[in-house]
Amino acid sequence: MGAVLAMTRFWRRAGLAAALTLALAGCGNDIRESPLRLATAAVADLVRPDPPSVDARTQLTPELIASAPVSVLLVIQQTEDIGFTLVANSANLGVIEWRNTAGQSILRRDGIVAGTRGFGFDRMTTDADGLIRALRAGGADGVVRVHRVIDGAGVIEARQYLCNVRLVGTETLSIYGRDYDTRTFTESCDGPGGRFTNRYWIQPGGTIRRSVERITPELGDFEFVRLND
Amino acid sequence: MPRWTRAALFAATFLAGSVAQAQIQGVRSINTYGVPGLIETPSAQMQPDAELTTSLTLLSNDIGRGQIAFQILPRVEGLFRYASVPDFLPRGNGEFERTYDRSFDLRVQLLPEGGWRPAVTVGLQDFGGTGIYGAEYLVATKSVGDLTLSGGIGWGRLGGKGGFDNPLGALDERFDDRPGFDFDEGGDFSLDRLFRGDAALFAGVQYDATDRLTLKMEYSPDEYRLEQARGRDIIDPESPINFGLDYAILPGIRVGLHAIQGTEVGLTFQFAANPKRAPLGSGLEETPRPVTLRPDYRENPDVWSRGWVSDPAAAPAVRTALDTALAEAELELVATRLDATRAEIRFRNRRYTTEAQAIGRAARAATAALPPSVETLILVPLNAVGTAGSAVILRRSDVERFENAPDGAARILAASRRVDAVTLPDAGLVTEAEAYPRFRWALGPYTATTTFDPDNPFRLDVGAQLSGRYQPAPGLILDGAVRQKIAGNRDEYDRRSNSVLPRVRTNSYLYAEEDGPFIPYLTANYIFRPAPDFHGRLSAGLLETQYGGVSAELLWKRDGAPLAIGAEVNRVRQRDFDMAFGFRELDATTAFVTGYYDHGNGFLSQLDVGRYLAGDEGATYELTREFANGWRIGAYATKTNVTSEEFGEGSFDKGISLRIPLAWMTGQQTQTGAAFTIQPILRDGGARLRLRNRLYPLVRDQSAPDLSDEWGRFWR
Repeated sequence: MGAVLAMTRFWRRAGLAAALTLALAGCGNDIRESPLRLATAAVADLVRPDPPSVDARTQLTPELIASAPVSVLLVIQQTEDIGFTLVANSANLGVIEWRNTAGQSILRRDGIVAGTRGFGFDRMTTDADGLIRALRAGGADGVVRVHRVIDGAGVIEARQYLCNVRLVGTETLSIYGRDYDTRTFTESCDGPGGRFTNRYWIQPGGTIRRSVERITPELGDFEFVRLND
Repeated sequence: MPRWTRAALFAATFLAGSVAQAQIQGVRSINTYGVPGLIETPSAQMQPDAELTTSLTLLSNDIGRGQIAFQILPRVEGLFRYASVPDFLPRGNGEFERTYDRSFDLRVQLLPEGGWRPAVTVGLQDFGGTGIYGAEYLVATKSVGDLTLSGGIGWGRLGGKGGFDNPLGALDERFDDRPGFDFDEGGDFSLDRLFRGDAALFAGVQYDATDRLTLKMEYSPDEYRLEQARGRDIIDPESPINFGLDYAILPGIRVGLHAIQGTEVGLTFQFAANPKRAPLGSGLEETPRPVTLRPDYRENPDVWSRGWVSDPAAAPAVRTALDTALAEAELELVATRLDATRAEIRFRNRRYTTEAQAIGRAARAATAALPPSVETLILVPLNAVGTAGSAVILRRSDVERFENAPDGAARILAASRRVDAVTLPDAGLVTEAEAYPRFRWALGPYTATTTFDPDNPFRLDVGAQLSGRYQPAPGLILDGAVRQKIAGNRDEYDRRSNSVLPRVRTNSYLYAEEDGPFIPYLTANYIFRPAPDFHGRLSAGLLETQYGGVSAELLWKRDGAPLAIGAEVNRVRQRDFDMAFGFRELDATTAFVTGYYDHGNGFLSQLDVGRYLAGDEGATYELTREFANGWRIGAYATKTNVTSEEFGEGSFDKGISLRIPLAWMTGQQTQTGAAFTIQPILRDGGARLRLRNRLYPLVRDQSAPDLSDEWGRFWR
């Protein structure tokens, strides 16, 4: 009798353990029902070993760039010191969307960041018309720049910055075996989140070959390098 | 973003809900009662707006206090406290037993700090309980460099050592004496004690030694009279000077160490979270499909031809393309009505937290699939049960124009129109073949909690749940679930109900004792739109774990109106404790009229007036602060025509509700969230049915103001 009870207890516990395993693994075609399971899955995803990430800077070669059939942009996320590439995906009214395979994108208008998506603390839009005029004019003071972000509470917040744009010199950039003559500008801004300085390397035709721009205070500075075109 | 970064941020979310820095800007160090302050005394400082401060204080004399404080407005803070005090309740034989006490605080900053002026705050401590920690104060605080000085006048517990006649006695002699403590039912808001009796002065200083370490010293007038009254020996104060230090061990997590009254030591843990400090910003979901532009009409007029409508193969091809484009955005196409210039698209959003983001992605998908002649987009998001609210009407050319405009979200909102989808004609609407019937099922874990019973502040069951939902047609839903508890301690509660009312909720512990599989709900529901601005619901079956029966509800909610009005009638019978198909001999009819009012700025009032489960009649008022990211924090109180004595411990029903969206924590879009209701004590008075498909939460984000408040995510 005791053996039967022990077996009953064993199978009951085994059944419960199986139920727990199944429950935590979860299955079905409606995943909305269980916040606990979603949270468990999120934690499991995070503790799984990260696949080795490849920095695009270590892979790029002049030959690779020359053979690229599309426009390629090298982005270096300076706070993380990670480089990755984006390709031009679409254009709408002067804004080009550059996208990577991870589903992230950078929007640029006239070579200046107009927005980001998929990085978390994204910048939704930029009003930098004043900067574009100032760069064409060789510099200006009191230039207004407006960033719009979705704030932590989930609503659009407009952040206005006052900037001074200065021509600081000339520089020949050497990018994977090609040289580019550029004029260098700084854009020193003050506003919500503190001060920052963006830098632009502009070719005689107006192409911004390289830039370092503050995205948001949380994401920090991104460096952009036009690799071809 | 690399996974390790996400992991770090994710951990910070759970641990602190914050970003990576030693201290979160503006978050104040708290006292042992959970509000900004020194050790026992408060300061006039406030936490950042919307700050949710959870804290735990443990003292060497075995006193424990857990607190949740919420910064309701930038200058108003509320707090709920659960305290455990040993050897407090007289047994009658000269011995004492531990008591568990729940209480509320409210603080209002009268003047913010500025220039040479100190901040000034008036506070009520434990005004909603037995009054064990009852105190009122007026305190001023000024920061000078790394030093913060506080001083004030207190009453009650803060009106002890060095006390003097109440200066308010000059206004009215009733201020001279303070009534005794309430050890009966507790829970009444004890307005007759406020600012009464002797007053005393208190003061303190804190010094921010480093960006992590804060040193504190104070003079506390608390004499702990109650802890020494009637022969109790909980504390034997020796000195009114308290010392402490406070260290930020992680972003948003601080630990305080205190020397109290010269005889005790204490530890305080402070956890900071704030709905406004999203740890992953606006989210990590993939970038949306860009708007597909149409060819220039002048260069390609043929492409803009409306002739496609006369081609019988064209419309099915367009629908297939639309279905594919929406599916890429993880939206489900349900029905379409297409003509040469207009497209009505009904779709289901099971992914995005906000309807605005779903509409934005649907609009972009539509531009990829519709012929160029279609200029008007009528987008109709359907709710979880398949009924429509507002239809959002957009010009396709506006979608093309405003995609990357600096103020694109505001401009597309201004250019849009909304109409009640009920007013749209049904003729020509083609429902997708796979839309109905639909069956969804899930096997996953569940949790059930019991909070603040007299023996244990938190009990938890964990188990497995198999759930299913069958929808044969729009609005018609058959749903149910089976649960099996695997582990937990909710069945350890062993205090029998002493309620003098019909035991409509105080038998909950008997349901928690069920060990076998049980059915938490099994219902048939019909949710429908009887007329423009009206929503209806009929439900029948096992409505919740404890009741089965029938339920009917009607809701009036007009797009753009801040006010909505609902009415609900339920006829139910109490279920057997095994939660199978049997019933007990307890019937109830409940009926309510409910008003919902959106005050703007995220504040929502809900007033229910009617008849509750125990037959009592009264009203429930709930004030909720909501955030566009899905966070909700509310407090409610119910007062019915049962007396405090009939109600029992707690005097009347009240509680705090909290919902944290999972998307806020993980950065991935999901509509799932963790919802909690903290009910200090569960009694039979003011009890309501826990229905699953109440209409207002189901339909509210399908129309303005919710729809327009969340519009910032349209282009996300």
